[in-house]
Amino acid sequence: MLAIHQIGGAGLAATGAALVGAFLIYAQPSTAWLRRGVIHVAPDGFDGFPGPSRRFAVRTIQRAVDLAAPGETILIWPGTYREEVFLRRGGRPGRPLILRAAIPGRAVISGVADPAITAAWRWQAHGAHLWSTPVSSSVAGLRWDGVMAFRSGSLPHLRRICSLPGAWPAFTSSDRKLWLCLPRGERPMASRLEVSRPMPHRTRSGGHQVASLWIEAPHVEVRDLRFDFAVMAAIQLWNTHHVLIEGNHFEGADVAINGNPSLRPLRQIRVSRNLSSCYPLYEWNREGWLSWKEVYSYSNCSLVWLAGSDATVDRNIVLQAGDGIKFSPHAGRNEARSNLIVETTDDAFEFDGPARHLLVSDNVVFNSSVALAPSPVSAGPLLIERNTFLLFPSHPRKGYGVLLKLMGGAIRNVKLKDNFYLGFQIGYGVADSPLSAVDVVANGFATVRSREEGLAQTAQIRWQGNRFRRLSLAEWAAASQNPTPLASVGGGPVTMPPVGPGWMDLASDRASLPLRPYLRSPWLRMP
Amino acid sequence: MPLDLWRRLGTAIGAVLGSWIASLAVGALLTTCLSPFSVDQPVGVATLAGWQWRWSVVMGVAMVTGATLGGAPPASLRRTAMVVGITAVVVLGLSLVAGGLAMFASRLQLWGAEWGVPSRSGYAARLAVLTATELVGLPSALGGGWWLLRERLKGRRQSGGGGGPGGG
Repeated sequence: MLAIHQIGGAGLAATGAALVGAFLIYAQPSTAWLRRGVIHVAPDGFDGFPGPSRRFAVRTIQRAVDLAAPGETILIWPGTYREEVFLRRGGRPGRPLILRAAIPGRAVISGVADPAITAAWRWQAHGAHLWSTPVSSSVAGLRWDGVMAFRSGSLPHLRRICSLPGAWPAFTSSDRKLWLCLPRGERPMASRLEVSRPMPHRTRSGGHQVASLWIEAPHVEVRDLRFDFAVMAAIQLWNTHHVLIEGNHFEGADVAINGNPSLRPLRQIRVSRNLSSCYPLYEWNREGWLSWKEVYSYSNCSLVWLAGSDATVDRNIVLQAGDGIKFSPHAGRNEARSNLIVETTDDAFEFDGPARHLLVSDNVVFNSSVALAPSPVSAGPLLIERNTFLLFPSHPRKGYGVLLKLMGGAIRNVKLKDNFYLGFQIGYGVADSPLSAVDVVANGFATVRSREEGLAQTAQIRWQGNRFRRLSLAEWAAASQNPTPLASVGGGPVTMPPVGPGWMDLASDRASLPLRPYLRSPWLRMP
Repeated sequence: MPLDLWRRLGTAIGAVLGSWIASLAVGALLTTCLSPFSVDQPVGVATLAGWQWRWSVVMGVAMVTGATLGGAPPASLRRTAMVVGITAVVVLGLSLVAGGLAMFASRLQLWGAEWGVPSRSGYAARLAVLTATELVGLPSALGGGWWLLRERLKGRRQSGGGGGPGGG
């Protein structure tokens, strides 16, 4: 047995102190007692601090979430945080862990790669508009002057679209080379170029989820942050429940808030008053630069992709998305309410799955390719009530869009009630997707085509008390500026509650650029 | 006496460096072993980075203590390196065993049957390895330090205070 007296007293004390210090470093016990319920995070902080004040802030959000105790608020000061954060310590009932911007909208969690990477690139010209540079890994996302560039599938395709009139910046990349099209004749400059951080090789179809913030613990709130250019998801809901995501701005994420798949079924999730945008996804298609098929590869760009139970998605703004909201819960009471969805290249709402006890109400959709896609709904009941769907005339190459897409298998237990739809045609459906218990009740339709055109299952739908009005193309175009003539079928200005982040000035914030024409629309009244 | 001080200092630096290298090696090997099975969450350099530096600190302190504390001559660099290496192998081995058992349990539906992810066994292995490193890291580091200290002090007693194992 070791005789303690063999070790000197001073040495023993020093050693004891060192061992206790090492133990504390290793075990990371809670330091909440050093703070007053707030952990400060700042770009000029230091991760060795416990974060009790702005002056002694920690530097990374990851360090803050590792330190945090239930009931604490992680206050994130203005700056850009290039991190992938794993939140594994949550809150408790009544004592949520809160991540919040100290100044709303000024703290950015960014998926943009270190600027040193782009600064080191050496560009070679290939004609007036095309450039190439060697790269060390494939580039998944690229922005020029802060605007997302189109990702082409191959070099020949890039060459072709680069020479088309009305082209936007575009690129294609392999593991070794990046090709960039700058159609206005600019030279590539590191100061105007941003790329997303390298993505692991195996992505969702064959493996990995990638996200800026992983929520792997319950009772969490995320407020007033900006998630910029996330690689795949901005927030991945993984193993959690009782989550509130409110007042955030998501830019350029494949799926802003992703719960599909999740480790365990999600429950009690609320997504409220956020804004997500994939600008200029819709523009590529609007003026006919790219076909619908070409932009379809961006068909996610969604605000949420959620299953689970007891989920609410309300008062959000979705701008220039692929599918705006992908929502198909399997249990509980669920709701998508008072969302404003503007310009989607695919479905405004996709309910692909059971869609159990789901109420979709009081939403406004402008200019989607498809407004509602119960394709298929396997269980229901899905009640779609008091919504307004406005699909105005667009470039012929884009197609005219539809209200309902009925395909993908048997669809059951869906009811549309008291909605108003202005558009080219009501539905697109195929005979091999039979309908049962699909009711369309007391809706108003103002369409160019007749009820049956394009909808193979018209006879399988129970139509009751609907009002129909056929429009000429000219009347349809005029209706976009004047709803008055459609009052007889229920058309008229819609008043929405405040939507989007409360801190964001929708009239001036860069993120709301595609929304501004709609804010002036006679169809919309917003506070 | 100055010579003894220099030897203690050299051993201490060696123990700290050895601990740091061991933590990097264990982290790299575990990352390499996990990567092929990790389908749902990417495993990268950052996955074990937090544990690596914490373990290197605690092991460094424990090994410096074990190799230099007390009146007995310090442990030799070789002996210190060997104990650090054995500790690292123990942590690596136990973590891999935990990962393997977790995969096995997952495939038998004993664990993670309710998980909604494409690769349950891969995720089980990941969770088990990350948990095992956390649980095993501290006792293994302290155990290694204790082992070194005990050897030195035992050796001193047996030789009547004239140097310990590997101390000459």
